[in-house]
Amino acid sequence: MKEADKEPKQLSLDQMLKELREEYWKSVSEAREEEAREGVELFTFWLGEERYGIDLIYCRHLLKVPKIVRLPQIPEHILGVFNLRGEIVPALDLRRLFGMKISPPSENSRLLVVEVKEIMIALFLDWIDDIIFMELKELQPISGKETGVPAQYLKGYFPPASEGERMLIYLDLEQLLASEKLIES
Amino acid sequence: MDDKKREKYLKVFQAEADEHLKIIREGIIHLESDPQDSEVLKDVIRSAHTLKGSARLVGLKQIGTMAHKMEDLLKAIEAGKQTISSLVMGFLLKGADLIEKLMRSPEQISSEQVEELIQSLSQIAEGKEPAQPEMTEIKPEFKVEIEAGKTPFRESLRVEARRLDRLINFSEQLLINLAKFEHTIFHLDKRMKALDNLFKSHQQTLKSRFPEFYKQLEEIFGQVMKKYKTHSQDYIEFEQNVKEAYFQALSLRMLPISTLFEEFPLAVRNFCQELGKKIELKLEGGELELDRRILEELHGPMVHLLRNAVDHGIEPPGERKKLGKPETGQIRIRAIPKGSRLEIEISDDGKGIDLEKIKARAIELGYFQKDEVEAMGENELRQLIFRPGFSTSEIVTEISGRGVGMDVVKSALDCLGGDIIIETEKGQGTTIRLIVPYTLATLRCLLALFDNTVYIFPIHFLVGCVRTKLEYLQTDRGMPMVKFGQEMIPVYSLGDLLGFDNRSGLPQQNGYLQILILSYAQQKLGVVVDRILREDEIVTKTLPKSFARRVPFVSGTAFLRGEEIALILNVIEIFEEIRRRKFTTAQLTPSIEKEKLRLLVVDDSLTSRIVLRNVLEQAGYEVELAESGRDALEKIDQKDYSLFLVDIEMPGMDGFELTRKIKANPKTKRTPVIIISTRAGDEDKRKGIEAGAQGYIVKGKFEPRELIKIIQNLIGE
Repeated sequence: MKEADKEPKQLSLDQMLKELREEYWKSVSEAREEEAREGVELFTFWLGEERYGIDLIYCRHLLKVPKIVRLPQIPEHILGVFNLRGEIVPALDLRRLFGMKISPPSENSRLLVVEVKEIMIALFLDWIDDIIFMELKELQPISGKETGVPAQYLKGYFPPASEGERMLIYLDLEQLLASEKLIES
Repeated sequence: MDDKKREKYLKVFQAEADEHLKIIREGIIHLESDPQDSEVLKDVIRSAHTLKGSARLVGLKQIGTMAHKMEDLLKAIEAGKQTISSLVMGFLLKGADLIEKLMRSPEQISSEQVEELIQSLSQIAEGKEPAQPEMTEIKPEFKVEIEAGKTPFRESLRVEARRLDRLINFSEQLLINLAKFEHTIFHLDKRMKALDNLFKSHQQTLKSRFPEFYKQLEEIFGQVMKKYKTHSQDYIEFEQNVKEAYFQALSLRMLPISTLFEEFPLAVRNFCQELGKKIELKLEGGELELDRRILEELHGPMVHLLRNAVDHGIEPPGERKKLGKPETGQIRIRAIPKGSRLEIEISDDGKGIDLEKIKARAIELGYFQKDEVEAMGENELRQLIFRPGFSTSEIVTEISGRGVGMDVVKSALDCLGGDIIIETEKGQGTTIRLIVPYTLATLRCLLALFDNTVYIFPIHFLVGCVRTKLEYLQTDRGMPMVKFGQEMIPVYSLGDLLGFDNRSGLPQQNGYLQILILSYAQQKLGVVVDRILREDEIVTKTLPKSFARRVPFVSGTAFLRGEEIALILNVIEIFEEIRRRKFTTAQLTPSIEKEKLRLLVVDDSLTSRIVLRNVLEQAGYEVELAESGRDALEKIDQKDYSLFLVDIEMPGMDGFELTRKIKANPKTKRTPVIIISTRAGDEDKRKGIEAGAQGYIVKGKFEPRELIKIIQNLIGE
């Protein structure tokens, strides 16, 4: 309770981002000129056993889970709303939307605030993972039921780099937030 | 031009075009009633010209051509080659509409449509008689007069509403920060005074015993006090500035009412055309300003009231002539400042609201009996039209009389914390006054805690609070009721109303229920919450756009001191929900008008008594309670019962003994007894039957339906 009452603390996503960008630019600065690599910067995170990525350009803030106020008669996957420095932002639980197993919030749970087409919404994450650059030529189309996530919310997946790792599921945030199911009950 | 740039330009163009279209439309409507106003004509020509140029620049050819042709026609009018008539003006308005559609949803427009109109416009510009469209048989006549305050010209910036809202959000946050400061300073102030007193009372002792220490202490203490004083003064200034900044920010969202009025001339013109009426519309007070959010909320209700005025108020020209009224009816919309609130008055000189028709309708809808309606005063009768489903139109027309209407207007006003007043005189006309606050900024309310969330009840729906125990509640067909004054009011848990499954029971705090009594449209309702916090003045906020109007029972939110989000309840929706439930429960339980059978429940456990009473009352029986065998025997002496439900384990006389006494009493020996017990053993069952009981039910396996079935078998429904 005490923890939840505190104002959501902003982790230094900006800092993290900056460092990663610098690192990234350093590594590609020479190669960049000759061959422009087509790719995306992804913010990656875990929901249960699965690893997901979304376009970094949509990410705005990363927060410890604040007190979320429940609203009456809205779809189950909307956890409620919380106060983000004077703005009221809805929090979404993708696990429920995707029909995944739900584990209770932990130390590692975070809210990632994203903004797409003027809609500000927060996603509940089990773990944050990394910010990485992925080449688009690696992207595999989702053919069937590899993930259990409805195919219209996905751009595809990146196969695991080595044995024993999980594949990276690339979410289509625009589709996700445009989907009627999301907010209309 | 690449796509991104083009998109950006298109946005800019749209914003600009909206403004020009507005000037064109308003101008055309104005010119219809005042064809001599060459200034306005010039404005309209200029706007068409600019629109033409801009459209071509961004490559919107069709819009460019349309604007071009409109400009030609307007110039022809200026040169006197064509005259202003409602027909000609109609074509221009069509042009404006088409441009708007081409801009917003071009896929709905065929190029033939555009071609056709361009052709007509060029022909009219050449001075030819325009082709008569089919609709114009009616020959509507329409005049508009906009009085007073042209909004004064000022330097202006175009700012996205969203950014404005953000600014206001932040200044609200500042206000909340301020409240926290105030709280701290209040406590700090008390402590500083205590410290000062303490210091002074021990001054002498300290001075004589620890001279060196005292010297240092006095110096530091003096400095702290000095700083503290400066700080207090700074704080007062800071407070004033923050508040001023907040009000300044809020005022940015204020818009002149003319932005609400601007579409009314066109709307009334269309209504007139459709209904064959002649109307002159007068608008006054458009320069007064209101919060944008209030203007938005008023839009729907105002359009509805205007429709009503045109459709039901103003008589057709022929009828008016017969009545000796001028053929052209008058509708006047006036905004008038009334203290801290604003009044918008909509009056017509039509036929007024027929109270006889209201009476007939109320009886027809089954709201009241004839004698009840006859006993009502005029004011009461007028209030009836705000009831859902009430519409006095004899013929359901396309424009009004669809049964949704005045009730919606009323609830919109209620949500804004406004009022609505109707004055009407048969044959003379109707005046409707809408009274609204200038801003939605603050709301007086009661805060209550439920399920760890703070809920906000707007104060104007509250009539009282009741703190009581569960056993003092009564029931009516299974519904818990609380006595409030002389009334019995149904009680619901807030969790039940909001549909929170995990919190649907009646919550108690230390054995007490906290009930808020709400009132709306002459109905009352008790809502049980966990705790009543306080009365307060709150700053309201809307839910994010993505949720707008989609969250049931919540009309908005507010931030409390701890920056916690609280939910403002939509009390009207809660009453609607209750009404809906009543309909459904009424369908489930067949109405029992025949005489009820009276049962006596004898049980020493309060919970058991309440549960049984609820179940039995729901099944349509009349239920009385006794808490001991002795109590039961006394009741049996005084009244007749059709059946007894008896618990075994009771202090004093147990259930078996009571059953034997009942069976020994000649008055009750034929009355069935059902034993209800926690004991499931065969031995007890046998003892019960020996004592004369007809039924035996185990509490642990208690099934309401089973119980009712057994009772029905014994004594009938």
